[in-house]
Amino acid sequence: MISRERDNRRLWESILDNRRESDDVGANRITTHPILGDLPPVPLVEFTFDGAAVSARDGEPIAAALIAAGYRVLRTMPRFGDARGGYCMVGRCPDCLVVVDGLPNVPACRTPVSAGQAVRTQHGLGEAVSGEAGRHST
Amino acid sequence: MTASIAVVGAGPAGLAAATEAAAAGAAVTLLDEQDEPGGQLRYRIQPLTVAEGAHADRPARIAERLIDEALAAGVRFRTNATVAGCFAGLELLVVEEGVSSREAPDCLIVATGSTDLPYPFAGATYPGVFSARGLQILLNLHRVRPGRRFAIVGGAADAEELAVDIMLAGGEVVWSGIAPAPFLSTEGVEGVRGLTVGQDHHAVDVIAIAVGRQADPALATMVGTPLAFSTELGGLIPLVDGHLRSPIAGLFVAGDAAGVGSVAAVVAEGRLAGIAAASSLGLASDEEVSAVRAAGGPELGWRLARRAALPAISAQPYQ
Repeated sequence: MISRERDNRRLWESILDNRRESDDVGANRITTHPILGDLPPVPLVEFTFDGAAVSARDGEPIAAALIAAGYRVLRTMPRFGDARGGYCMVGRCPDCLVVVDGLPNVPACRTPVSAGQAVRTQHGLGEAVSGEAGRHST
Repeated sequence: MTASIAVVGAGPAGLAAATEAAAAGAAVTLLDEQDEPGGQLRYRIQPLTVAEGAHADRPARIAERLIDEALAAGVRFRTNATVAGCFAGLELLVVEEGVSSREAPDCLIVATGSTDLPYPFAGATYPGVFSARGLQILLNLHRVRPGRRFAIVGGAADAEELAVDIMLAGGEVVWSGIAPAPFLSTEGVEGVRGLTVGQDHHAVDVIAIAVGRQADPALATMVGTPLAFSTELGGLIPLVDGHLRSPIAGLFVAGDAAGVGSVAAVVAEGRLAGIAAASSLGLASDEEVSAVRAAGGPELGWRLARRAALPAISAQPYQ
């Protein structure tokens, strides 16, 4: 078990280091659609994910913004550290829980982005960062 | 005081149930955890019929009409309201904006819909694997395409609908089909890169699991509604009678939550549950209930007959 945990840690470091480079899978906005038409313009807001700036459509869920920006890993699981990146997109499964402004276990698929939000990958069960959690508006 | 009915789930069944109950004179609250009503009609885009024999229409337009009808009937909408639990005496635990409250309606209609069936194969948890409806929500509601090349695990109507949605969104469906789980394996712990089916390798960015749906009657079962089993209705379903009544007093279950079906069938079933709930509170006559039931169409008739023939399963997991 210990060696497995160490392997996982190594795996994690490599994943997080190479995340952006390895993620050119063509994730994108669907700007035109034969049935739904053109994507209506909405104001853009900026937030951060693990410190990097991400541009989002105002009001969309954090997960949608991150996936559109090419991020694939949103959290790691508590026991073996394996990666998850969203699955049900309705707030049922635990695969997109992130840390938002210091508050862990926030479902990224159901939480709207807001300007200046600091979103972080949740590792395991997450840990409320003292001082930061109090800023969460809800 | 007017008799109160709470309907949980503002999808097609819940909207129809709420409309019918409110039109009969009940004070109806329709709760939904999402930010807007409509349920599956919000993220499905291919034409559907709202009643058997009706012209097909876009789901968004069907939702609009059902919502307008509910508003006209006087239904009170509460969105972003998660019903987290249901306890003895039909006491509901409602969470809104992080604040929980308890309320006890006279009648409860559970119309919480269905969830996608899981399909556990090697790598089914990797980032880039989505449930069919999760992917539909990303593509059609959030307008985000999570990759270029897609594989769909599943072979029935849900998979076909998803394949068309992917192509409409500009994606490429590289492989679609069903294989026993041991023959499937995924590459890409940090994000899907490929899917191997038996000896064949497919380079894909996204895998969708579209093997079918199951009823999600958790609110009804946690207060003691027994379960039955029906393959045609999606597996474990709550035991309800011909009026969609659970054995728990005042509790009704309708729509996909009572067994997966077409939108036309769940709307018809919602209407029946709504009028039956109103009737149980003395707001509608038996004739009115029968009329709504008769107007429901053959699929509703089949669902009611199918359920009537089902015994409760012997080992009830939630009792």
